Amino acid sequence: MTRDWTKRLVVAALLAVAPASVSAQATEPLPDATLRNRADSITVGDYCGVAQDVLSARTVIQALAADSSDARANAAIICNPLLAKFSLLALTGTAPAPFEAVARVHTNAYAEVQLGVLDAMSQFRADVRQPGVRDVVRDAIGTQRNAELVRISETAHSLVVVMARDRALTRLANYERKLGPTSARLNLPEVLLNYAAQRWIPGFKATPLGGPSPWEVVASYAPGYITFVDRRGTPIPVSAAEFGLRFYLFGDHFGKPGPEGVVLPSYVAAGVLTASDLNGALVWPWKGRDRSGGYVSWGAIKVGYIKRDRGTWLVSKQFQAVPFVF
Amino acid sequence: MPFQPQTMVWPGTRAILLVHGIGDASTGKDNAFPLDVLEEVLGDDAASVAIYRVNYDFINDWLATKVQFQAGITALKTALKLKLGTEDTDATIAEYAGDVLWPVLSPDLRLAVRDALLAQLEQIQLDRGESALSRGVDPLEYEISIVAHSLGCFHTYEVLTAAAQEPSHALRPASDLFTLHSVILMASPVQLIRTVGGAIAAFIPDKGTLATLAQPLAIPSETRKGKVVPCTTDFMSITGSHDPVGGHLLGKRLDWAYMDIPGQHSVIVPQQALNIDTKAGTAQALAKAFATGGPKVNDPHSWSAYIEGQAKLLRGVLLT
Repeated sequence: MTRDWTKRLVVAALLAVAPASVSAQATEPLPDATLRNRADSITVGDYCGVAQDVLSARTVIQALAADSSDARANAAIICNPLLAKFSLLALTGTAPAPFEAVARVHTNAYAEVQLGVLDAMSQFRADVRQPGVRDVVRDAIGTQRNAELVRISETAHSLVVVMARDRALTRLANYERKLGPTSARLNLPEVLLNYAAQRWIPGFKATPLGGPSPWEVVASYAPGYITFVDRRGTPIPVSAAEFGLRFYLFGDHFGKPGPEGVVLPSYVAAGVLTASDLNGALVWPWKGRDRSGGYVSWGAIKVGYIKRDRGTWLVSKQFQAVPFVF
Repeated sequence: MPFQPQTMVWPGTRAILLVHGIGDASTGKDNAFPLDVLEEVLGDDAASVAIYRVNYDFINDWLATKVQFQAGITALKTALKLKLGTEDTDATIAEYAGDVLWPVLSPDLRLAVRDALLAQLEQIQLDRGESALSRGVDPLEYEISIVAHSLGCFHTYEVLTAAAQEPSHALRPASDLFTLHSVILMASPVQLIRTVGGAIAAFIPDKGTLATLAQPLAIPSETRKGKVVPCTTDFMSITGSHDPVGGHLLGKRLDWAYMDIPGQHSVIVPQQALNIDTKAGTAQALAKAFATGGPKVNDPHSWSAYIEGQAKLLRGVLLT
């Protein structure tokens, strides 16, 4: 009995080890420390003060012309007294809110109102720092105060750019999860089915802002299943056809390489499984008396269940014996 | 390794982003960026210019191993052959020029490349801010240029159009004040892709996300409060008179393949000195250009040759 279980464990371990060449998904943080420190030292109230100084200059209002009303409206949003003590960094939800602010606002989640303030800051910057107005502002408020405006407004906008960059990197990491080294290889029918699914089935399509869809169609011939036909635990190869769906697990926690990938894989899958009652590595699944059941996979490890005469439980590892074929 | 955008403190007030294309002179591998040639062109000013490179070959590699695109690429090349002619040499030229077309077939690939370029541009924007503010200077006085080659021109055009129109990228020319000093596209296949892609439009998924196909070609711009603000005031196209990827064959312009965007500054580089006077010669030169290794004696598509040959022009555009 012990020897049987040892055999099974050895088979399972061989199945479990993922290729060592795969790349890690987790990304090292980019060096944003200087920006974050500066953003943490500037408050929304500071921005409000410099915005009011800018708009108090008649020459600036004249230079802004039709844009002046928008600039005033955005300054009013920036000068929200409930957020005056918030640092610019706290506005993004990545730093603690000040105690007094928490007492009034109760939360430092990246709430709509905070998003609105950052958006107003971007709009205000676009108006008062646009070509033709920039020089007028500098002349109106003086070099010293203008330097403050530049430092504060550019810092706030840089935080918006950081968030945009991180969104792009997250989407790219998701593309790597779905297309890169830890993903499942597709055969020709799967390429065609997924091409069709991406074109015509909602939820399968990649979008510019959403990134890749986590879904993928599975339609493959899997010659590498193993079953155990007797109590001695002798492994026997079984060939099967799989039809189902694969779901990619996005996020830093999944997609680990090597043995860690057994616990935290890149994808899961489930579907129906058909196999002949004849055992063998390259047997046509519909040869003889075929039987159908189901399978699930956790990463590359697959477990199937079919009520067959010889071997009901099947295990396998995701691989392609012949690239683009099966 | 996961993609990480290049980041650096600018040594001066200018930065250039190099976007590679195809062919051995532009394969995107580290040594294939024509850095030496560019630095020679910039002369003494090279030390004060931050030169970024973005390499998206790793994304091409994902797709190459994940799926098989040969059928689609064959269809694209067939459409290109019909445009060029029926001679054997036309087929050979189509074979090599067609290599620039295949990203249109995969939304995953082109959107992933777009995200890599967006992340790099956003990092450059951040580096500009940090570099300038650390010296007490207004970041808007620091300048960014892009120099792209071949297929890199297509990806650059796509990403700049997306950046100019999509608020969440924070790179719009008016609303985010992200304007480029200059955008220089060398041997751009944008029109070639537009024409040939249009011929097989039914097979191209998600055309709506492809600026090259979905909209009339235009300098990427944002309309804010009724005012159209382009991403750059210096949008330049440089191509050779014998470079089919750039829309020329044996000194003649192929209207269906030559990118002619309203407002662009166009430069056609005479390439008679390459001694290519037959279609067979063009095919042979392209075969060398797209192969790996070996010297490129008369490559009409060489990125280095474009930079070297237009040294004076580039210095003027990039440094003033």
